[in-house]
Amino acid sequence: MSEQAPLLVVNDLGHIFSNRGQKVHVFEKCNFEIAPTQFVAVQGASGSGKTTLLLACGGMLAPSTGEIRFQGTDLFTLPSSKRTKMRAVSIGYLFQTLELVPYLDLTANVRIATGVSSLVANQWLDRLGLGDRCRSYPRELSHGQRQRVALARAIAHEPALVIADEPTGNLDSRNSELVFSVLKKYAEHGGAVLMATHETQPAAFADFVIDIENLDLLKATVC
Amino acid sequence: MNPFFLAFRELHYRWKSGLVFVLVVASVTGVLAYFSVNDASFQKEIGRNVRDIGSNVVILPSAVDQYSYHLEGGYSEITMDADLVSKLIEHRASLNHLIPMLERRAKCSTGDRQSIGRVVGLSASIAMPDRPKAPMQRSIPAGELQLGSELARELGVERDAKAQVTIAGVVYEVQRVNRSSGTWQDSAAFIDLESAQEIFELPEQISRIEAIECTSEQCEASGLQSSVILNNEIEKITDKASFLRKEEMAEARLNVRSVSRENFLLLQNVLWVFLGFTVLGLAILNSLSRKSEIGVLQAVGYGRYRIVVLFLVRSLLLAGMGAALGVTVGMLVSVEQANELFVMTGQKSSLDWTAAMAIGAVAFLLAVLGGCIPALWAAGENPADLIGRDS
Repeated sequence: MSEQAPLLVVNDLGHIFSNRGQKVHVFEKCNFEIAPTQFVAVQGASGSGKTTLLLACGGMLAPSTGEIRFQGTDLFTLPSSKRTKMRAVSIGYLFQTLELVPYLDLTANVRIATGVSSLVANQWLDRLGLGDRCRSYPRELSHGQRQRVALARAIAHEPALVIADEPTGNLDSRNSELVFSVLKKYAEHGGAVLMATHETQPAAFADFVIDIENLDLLKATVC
Repeated sequence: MNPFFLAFRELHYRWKSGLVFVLVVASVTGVLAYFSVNDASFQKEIGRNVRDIGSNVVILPSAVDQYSYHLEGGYSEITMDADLVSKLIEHRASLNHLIPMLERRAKCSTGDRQSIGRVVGLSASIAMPDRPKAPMQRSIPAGELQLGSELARELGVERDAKAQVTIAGVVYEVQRVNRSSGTWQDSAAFIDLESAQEIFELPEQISRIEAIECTSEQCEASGLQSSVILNNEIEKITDKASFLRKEEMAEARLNVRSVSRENFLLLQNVLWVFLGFTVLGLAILNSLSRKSEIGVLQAVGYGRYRIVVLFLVRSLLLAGMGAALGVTVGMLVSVEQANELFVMTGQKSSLDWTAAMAIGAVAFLLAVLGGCIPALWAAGENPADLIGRDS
């Protein structure tokens, strides 16, 4: 465990949604903390609520119960505009569906992150093996390449917290290793990483693992 | 990243949907511009044609017995002072195209033939100073004469032949033989007013003044009928004249004008509604197809304002192009068509820039508003609700 002050504190988090008039508890009483330099994995089966938890931690989905404190501030007591600004500077998000902007080339796709210059964007693309594709468009890339562009966009503005939703989904082992190593290095250099994964052995690379289907166990072992 | 840059890149990428947007705006503004210019020409054409039918107001000396006047086919030998014309002008009576006339039945002769004709002396039509109009009646040069078709036949004067007609000892060159009008004018000879006053020894006298009423604005403002307004005005100016209103002609004139105006207004309103809904529909489709993109932009820190600017720039560019294209093409086609359709006024039709600017501006505003409303809605959504939800 890191000795530094926590970057993200999740207290009694729970989320419920309605499905055809029935309330579905996605997860409840979720508690954990992430400090700078920590690499945290969220594990669970499909539909267990990994993406919902990550969206809430990224300030993009208000949870039904509990609180999320980021850099000491309760994210969901902030007005939407301030939350957006905080996210712009301090959080990088890699969506499961990647969500690259189709009409922008790779450099511009990375540059839409706040305060990223073309030089920095190209450096990140180069680091991720796409240095010769900077002027290409997302439609001209394979899924693995697009995944690396999305990672570059999430990380290029050097946020305090990178949230990655299944960043290695559908990637071959070579690309998966590349993505893991970039995220790991990012954490080692002071950034925190919260990652949802379907890997069977996340403990191999994560500082600790949140098993979203066994949150009681998490409380017992981590907090 | 600059929202303007993003907007331009998006337009370049989705040029087909942009083109549809431009074409919709251009089509509607084009049709409106086409009709607005045609409407102006149409009104001119109606105005000219109705004016050529003749005057709808006749001012007679008050001593004229109207029963006898009509019994004689609209003829009386009673006269009044010609300065009534200047009094009517001075008091800004609700009239225009004033034509003072003096007429007498008199013997007209050519060489070996002679006949009684209705000799009418008239001046060029006089427009009110604040209502300038092309003259309805041009002056007849002194010493010349225009013959009604039936009188010309009586006198044996052919349409295109040169001839002279003598009236009260004065010889007139026949300027032209008029086409048959089916009225008393077919048995008349027209000379200039001063000549008539001279040969009939009635200086500064006239038999009547024909005119066109201009009371529509006052009728709308006061709720009074046209005849009441004219009567009140003439009573204030003189007690030596009264007026006759040719009701059917006046009503027909008003009806034709109002029907064409109402038709155009209806079409205009339908087209505006069509434009508003179509543009809104296209903008909603555009927003729906870009839900994920909006979500991503929010995720990376784009606030509501920057996202709305993104869509606003898009709408401004497309609406501007569509409005400019539509107005230009619509007006050019309209002027071209007007020249062919409106024989009387076609050559005089001109671009109505005020209408063009108004149509272009309204279309532009509607398109911009239509484009922004979905953007405002989308920018207010939670990013998590937009990601991966493209429709």
